[in-house]
Amino acid sequence: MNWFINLLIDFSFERFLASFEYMGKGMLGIFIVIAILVLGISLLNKATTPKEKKNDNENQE
Amino acid sequence: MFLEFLYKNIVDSFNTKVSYGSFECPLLILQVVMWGIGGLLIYLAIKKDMEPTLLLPMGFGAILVNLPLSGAVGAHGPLTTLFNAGISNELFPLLLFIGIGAMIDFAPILQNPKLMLFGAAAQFGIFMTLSLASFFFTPEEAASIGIIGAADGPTAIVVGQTLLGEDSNILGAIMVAAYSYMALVPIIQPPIIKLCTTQKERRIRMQYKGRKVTKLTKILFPIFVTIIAGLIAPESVALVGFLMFGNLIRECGVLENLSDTAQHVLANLITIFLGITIATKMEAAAFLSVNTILVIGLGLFAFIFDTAGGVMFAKLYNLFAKEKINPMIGAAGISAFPMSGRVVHKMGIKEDPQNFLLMHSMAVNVSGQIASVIAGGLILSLFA
Repeated sequence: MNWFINLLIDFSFERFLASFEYMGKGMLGIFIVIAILVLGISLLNKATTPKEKKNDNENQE
Repeated sequence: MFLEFLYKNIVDSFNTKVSYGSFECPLLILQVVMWGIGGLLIYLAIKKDMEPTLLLPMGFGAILVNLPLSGAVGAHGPLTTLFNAGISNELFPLLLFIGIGAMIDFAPILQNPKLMLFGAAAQFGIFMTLSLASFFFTPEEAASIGIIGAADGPTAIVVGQTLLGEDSNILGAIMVAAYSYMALVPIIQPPIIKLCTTQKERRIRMQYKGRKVTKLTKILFPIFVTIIAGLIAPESVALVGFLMFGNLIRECGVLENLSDTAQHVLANLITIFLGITIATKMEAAAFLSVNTILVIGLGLFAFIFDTAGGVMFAKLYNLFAKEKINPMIGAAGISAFPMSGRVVHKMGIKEDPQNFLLMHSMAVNVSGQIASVIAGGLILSLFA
């Protein structure tokens, strides 16, 4: 039973509460980085997609 | 005695005691238990086809390092030498990332970038597990255990090694848990997905709009990701940078030979070294402990909360979106590529044989790879 007693001795509710700060910062950080990447990729797609040729429109007219 | 040299090692190992509180166990008994664990990993690799590229070397390595006075470890042992050469400095997992980056096609998320948000949500398990682990472990240990939820072996090794150092006795358990649970994704995820969704939600159909992605976008993407991730979390530069370097080699179109080498020869070579070298952290006295059981249990929580986090975020998204998505694809944000994507697709087919979720689930799965690496970098920034 000593291993169980040792486990209880190491048990820390304070550390658990302190961890929420890391949880908040971590998840927020991931979402911020991913959001920036999403915006960046959308801009990359728009910037690199070839525009429709004006000649096609002129030919149709 | 004449033949004493033949059995002296075994006797010495039996006479060496490992203390568990007031209970003492001969080291030899513990080493035999580790042979059994090594054998189990080999069995799972061969018979059940569970991540054989890593479980088999780990299993055999566990046997190698747990033979009495094994010459494979120690000051002149080759496994210890390999560990110091490639794992204690995080080199092997980073080199493996070059190969992984060269294997991944990011086109699915480039076609629909907003799906990356689900990859981010599916990293929730990392931080939830970090919190739970904080009950029993120091913050650095809790973070290293939480990163099991990244479902990415190299990331787990880099973060664990950086935060804990080579003397930690939970590093072996973290590595075994990370790779073993990745192989168990088809068993872990479906019940969690079903618990978090209704049948009506699982039957939501998604249209696939295959937008063309230009080559220029594919080339600029890895450079862009590296710069952004590196500016925000400098500690992630090695992880993200090596992954994206591999991808750039693939997408540039002028380095076919290097891409092929990275995907096959490099990846396989490093995997061989990595797998067997990880076993240096599976020596009986350090591995067989209450901490190992806790780590293995917390690792399972990480995967469960990853799955739930991705699915619940998708459900939250549906509250505001005009075009509903199937919330199951959120679960594919776990970085176990491509298994998680296939699991979600199969579940979708089972609910509705006409519902093909593969492209969407693979897009989320791929984004999970990026998100998990970023999570690893952020963890290093917060704790290192």
